[in-house]
Amino acid sequence: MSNIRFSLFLCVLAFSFALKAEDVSFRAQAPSQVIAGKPFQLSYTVNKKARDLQAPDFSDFDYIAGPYQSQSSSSSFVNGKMSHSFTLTFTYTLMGKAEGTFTIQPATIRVDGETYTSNGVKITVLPADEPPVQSNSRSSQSASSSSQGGENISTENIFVRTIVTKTKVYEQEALLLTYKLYFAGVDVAQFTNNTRLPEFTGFLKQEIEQTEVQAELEHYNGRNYQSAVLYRTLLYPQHGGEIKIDPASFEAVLRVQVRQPIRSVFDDFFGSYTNVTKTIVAPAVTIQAQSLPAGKPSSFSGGVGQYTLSGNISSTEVKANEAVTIKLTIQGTGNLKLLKTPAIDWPEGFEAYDPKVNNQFKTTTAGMSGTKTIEYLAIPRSAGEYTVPAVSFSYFDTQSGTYKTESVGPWTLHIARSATDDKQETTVQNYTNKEDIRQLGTDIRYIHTQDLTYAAQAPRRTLSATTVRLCYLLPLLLAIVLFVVFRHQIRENADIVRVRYKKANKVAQKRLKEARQCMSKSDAAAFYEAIERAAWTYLSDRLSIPTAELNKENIASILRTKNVSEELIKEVVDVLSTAEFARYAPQAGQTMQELLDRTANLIDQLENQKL
Amino acid sequence: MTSLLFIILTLFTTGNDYYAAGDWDNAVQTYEQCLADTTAFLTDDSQAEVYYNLGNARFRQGELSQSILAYERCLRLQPRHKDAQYNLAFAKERIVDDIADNRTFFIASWAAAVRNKLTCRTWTILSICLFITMLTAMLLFALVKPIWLRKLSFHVAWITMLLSLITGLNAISLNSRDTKQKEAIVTQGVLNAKASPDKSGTDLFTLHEGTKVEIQEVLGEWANVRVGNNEGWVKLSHIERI
Repeated sequence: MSNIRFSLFLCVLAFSFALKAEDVSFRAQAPSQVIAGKPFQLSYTVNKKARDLQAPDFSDFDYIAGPYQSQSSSSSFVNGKMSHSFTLTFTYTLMGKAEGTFTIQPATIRVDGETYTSNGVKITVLPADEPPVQSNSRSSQSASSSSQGGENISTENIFVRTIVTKTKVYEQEALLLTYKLYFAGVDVAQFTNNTRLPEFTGFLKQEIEQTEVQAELEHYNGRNYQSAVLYRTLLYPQHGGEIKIDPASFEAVLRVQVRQPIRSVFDDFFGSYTNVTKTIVAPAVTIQAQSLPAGKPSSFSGGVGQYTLSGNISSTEVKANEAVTIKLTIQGTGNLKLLKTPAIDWPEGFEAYDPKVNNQFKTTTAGMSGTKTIEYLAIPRSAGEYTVPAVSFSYFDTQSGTYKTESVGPWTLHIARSATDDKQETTVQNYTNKEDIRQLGTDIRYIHTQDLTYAAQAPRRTLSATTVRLCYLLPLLLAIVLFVVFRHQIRENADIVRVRYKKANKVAQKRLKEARQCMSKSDAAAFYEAIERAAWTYLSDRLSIPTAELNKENIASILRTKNVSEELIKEVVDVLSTAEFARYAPQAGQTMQELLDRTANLIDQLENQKL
Repeated sequence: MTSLLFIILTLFTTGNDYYAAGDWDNAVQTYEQCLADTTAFLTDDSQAEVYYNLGNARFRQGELSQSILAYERCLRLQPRHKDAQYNLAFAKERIVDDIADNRTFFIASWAAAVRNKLTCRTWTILSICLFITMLTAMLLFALVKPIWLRKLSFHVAWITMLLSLITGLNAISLNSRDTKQKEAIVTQGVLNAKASPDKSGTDLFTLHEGTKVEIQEVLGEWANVRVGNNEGWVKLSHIERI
């Protein structure tokens, strides 16, 4: 017996040592919702021995009882380590007086001579239950139910509401849909898996993850219910018009008291409850989705909500073949998932790659919010100064009901030559369209290294216009002067050959005319002389033979070289010798007329020849 | 003057040494300094050599447009510089733009090729010589008596007259090219020619570095250029006259 006492003493000793090591915690606890006229408990818990609890003013509530003090301690072994806990609780019983939200100020307590302050507590006082409504009128929001179990389970006692934050929204604007369970006077044991949610046709659905279902008091339609959120989702209408959300059905297991004669005390304790399955239907709801107004900007991204656009560029001074990154950040609330990535119109000579998109979205009851980061990578392939045009991003602002456009940029880039020593690298890209004529293994020829030659005086690079003109004019003037000086000789030169040649026929005809006159006068000697002269002069002029060289043989040979027919040559020689002969020894046989005709005929024929 | 000449020649050899050592940047700098100082003293041929070496150094640097510019300038001074012709053709292989000009008739391009064989000066001198020959032949024709000599001088006269005219026209066209500086090289890597001399003008076609364009008109900082069959406006700062 003394042994046990000793060990107990040891325990207490160790406990008090352990206590010293822990921090003091002093907390106030109370339900967050209470019903007016119903008592509730407010407790202050401290983990050390304490005294002098200074409770705050409870004037907003009716003070009923307290403080009741209770304490508990426990010790446990975990993995061979002993731990102790001690709690001292002061409990007050209070009652809500009037509807509203009230705050209970912190209380103070003394532990080992030091004062500690608890947290304040916020309590919502709900109105008291109204007397039960006898009529069958039900709220449109409450569900009709098919009772499978106890008749005391009416739709007033348990129902599911369909709550939407808005019934009139723009297309693509988020609305929050909540299925909330209300129950009072019944005990919900659990929900079965037999839950049928509507299809949400015409919406894009974004569920909100729920960690755990917590029931809380809620005053609804004059009654206080335990309420719990069953399902929450964000809905984005995908088209304009009326969109109906079908009813949802939930199946709950309720604990219902079975009315049967009480046979013993234990019956009531163990066996008078039974589980009943009940289907609860949440009503359908219709959403008015309004189409986006006309006049969409060209850069419209499909975004509906509130967004901001920011952007930056990695560097505006890079070398060719070095990557340039433009980072755009779209931040805001709305249908972030459906945003189209804005396009960047890279200038010519940039090799653009597909943008890298990084989404960081958070789905809350207020809608989807977060940031979308888009990284655009491009590699400039050649040097120069380029401008990347501004990037625009348009969205529909649901608050103002207008389209808004945000833009960043433009950026001016200075691309320097590639640093790489290898000249091929910058240009190898540009070969593509001339590949077939590229010479492999050829290179430019080497520089010239011989000494330069230089002029003692600055060489004239270009001839001046006056010099050039003088160079043309002076020889021309000189030539004109020479022409003038030698004009007589020139004329003579021209006469001798050309004019005589041209006038040969004329002169010959003149001579023939003289001969005709002599014939009419019957002056035979003069006639033959005229004929002879006519023939000789004509041939001399025509063949450009000087008179001194005139003889029949000469004429015949010249005529032969000029391709005159042998017949004609013979006739020429014949006429000449006839005229010569007749001049000195006139013949009776040949009349003057006949010779005249022959000569005229001959001259005509020679005239037609090309001599 | 001799000291200045000495500096120029030293610059040239220093540039060559840099080039041989593979230090393109310094070689370019030295050649350019050399060219800045030499204008008055070096003969055309020698100056062309400096431009040729500069073009090589620029090419090694990877500055395609600048090297083409240097080769073109070299050929302006010495149109028959074989190595410059070869290297220019080599550098032009690297130009992206393949210009198809179907406006020029083959005879016209052939004539242009002939024209570019000689400098403006040479053409002018040639034209004057031919003109004088023509006048002499005409005098000879008028004054001499022997028919064969007259005939010969007559033919010489008309042939030289024609040749003098052709060479004169060549000289005139080269002179206008050199003085008006209508030809330019695109120095910007990639360049969009606009429909109007304005940043917001519609993009008509794309030009790449090293392409030769013909300046038709200049308006402020914009130039209307012709490339092949295309015409458009580009910024003057993006091209450089030869």
